[in-house]
Amino acid sequence: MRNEPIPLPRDAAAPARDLPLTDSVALQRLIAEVRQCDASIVADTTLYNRTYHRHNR
Amino acid sequence: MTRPESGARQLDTVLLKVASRCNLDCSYCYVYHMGDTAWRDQPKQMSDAILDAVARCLADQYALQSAPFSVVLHGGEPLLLGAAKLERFCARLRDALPHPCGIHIQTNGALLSDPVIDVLVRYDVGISVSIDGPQRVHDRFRIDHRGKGSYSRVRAGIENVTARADARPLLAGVLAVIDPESDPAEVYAALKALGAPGLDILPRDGNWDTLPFGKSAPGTTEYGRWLEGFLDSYLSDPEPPRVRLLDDMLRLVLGGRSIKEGVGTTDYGILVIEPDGTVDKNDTLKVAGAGEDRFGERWSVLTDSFDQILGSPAFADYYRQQRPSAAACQVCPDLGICGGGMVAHRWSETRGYDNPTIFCADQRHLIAKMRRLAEAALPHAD
Ligand code: SF4
Repeated sequence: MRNEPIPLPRDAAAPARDLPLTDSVALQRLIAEVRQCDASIVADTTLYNRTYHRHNR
Repeated sequence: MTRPESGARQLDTVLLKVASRCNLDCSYCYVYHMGDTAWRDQPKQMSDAILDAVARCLADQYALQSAPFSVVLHGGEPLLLGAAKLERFCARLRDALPHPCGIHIQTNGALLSDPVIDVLVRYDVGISVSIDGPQRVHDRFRIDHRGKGSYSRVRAGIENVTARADARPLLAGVLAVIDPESDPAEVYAALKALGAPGLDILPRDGNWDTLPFGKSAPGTTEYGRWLEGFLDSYLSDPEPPRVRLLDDMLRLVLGGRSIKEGVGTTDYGILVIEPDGTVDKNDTLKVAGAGEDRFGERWSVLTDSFDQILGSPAFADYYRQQRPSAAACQVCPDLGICGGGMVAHRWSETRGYDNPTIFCADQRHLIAKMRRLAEAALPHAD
């Protein structure tokens, strides 16, 4: 009799291997912003008005 | 509300509930389907008289505080006002709150017609649209009152905005509620294809007594793994838009600052003005239980000033509530990034808000991934 493999519970599935993301555009953009002191970004009125109201809905 | 070192509390975001009803009936909505029925007692729409009082109170507060703030037209569905009333509201608000104060609308997008967009352009109102990803994912939950999916109407609304050179810059972002059973790469691609400069993603609401959809136990990481998949898509994109939640968390991992509520340990708060002029706490507290978003005392824009409200002990308590009190959070190495999550997601009947977020395991999973990436990426940074 052939044993069917027991399906893994969803949580036990192996996580995806980290991609080689060290040169990620999004990550490098954030690194540059944080280095430039992101206070200036928080104070940017365009970002603040357009996107960054604090409520999360 | 932020508290500068030396001054009184200041407003930073005010939600105007200009309509208490919605043209859609999304099955997960925290306003209508989380056990709170307060919307039934509200007028269907804010009246011109209440809006006048709101504008007066906001203008008074703006004169008192040094920093500008954002006002968000919210609901229900704010575009149920119709173009003519929307025009009167925006004109009055813009008059009371000149730039750099922000006026913004959070909409389900189905009513974004040209006459409405004309008004938003005239008063420089930033637009954020709720859409959950590709049609199959979106229409699973974002349905109308007849049970019909809303995707094609919402997408047409967004396209009405992006098709116009004068309106396109107003589109701040699209906001998706996560279906943890969906494919995050597919959702990322679908949201990006809409052409907004920013995307945001939110977990489904829940707490320790009512687990969020798709989460099988407090310790499981369905949301953490979904977010990890979304993060992978974002970070491997050669032309990435902004992803508000992930940018905020990554900025903190990299030693910077966060901007939105529910991330990090910066104090924010939201004041909500109901259609009848009542001033309430952050409406997301409804997720914890009916009435959790009310102050003990009933304040109204007809009788009270923001200055009085911001200076009251009840407001101080509400403000303090943002900080996680759970012992596990106090000693958690990820506290500075997670911040204990959204207040509403900490709730349990037995311990009130004295818990980590119900998404604690998910947060730790995602933050561990972000830390690994940041460590690997920093030596590569120019
Ligand atoms: S990860 Fe968990 S324990 Fe740590 S701060 Fe967040 S909710 Fe609290």
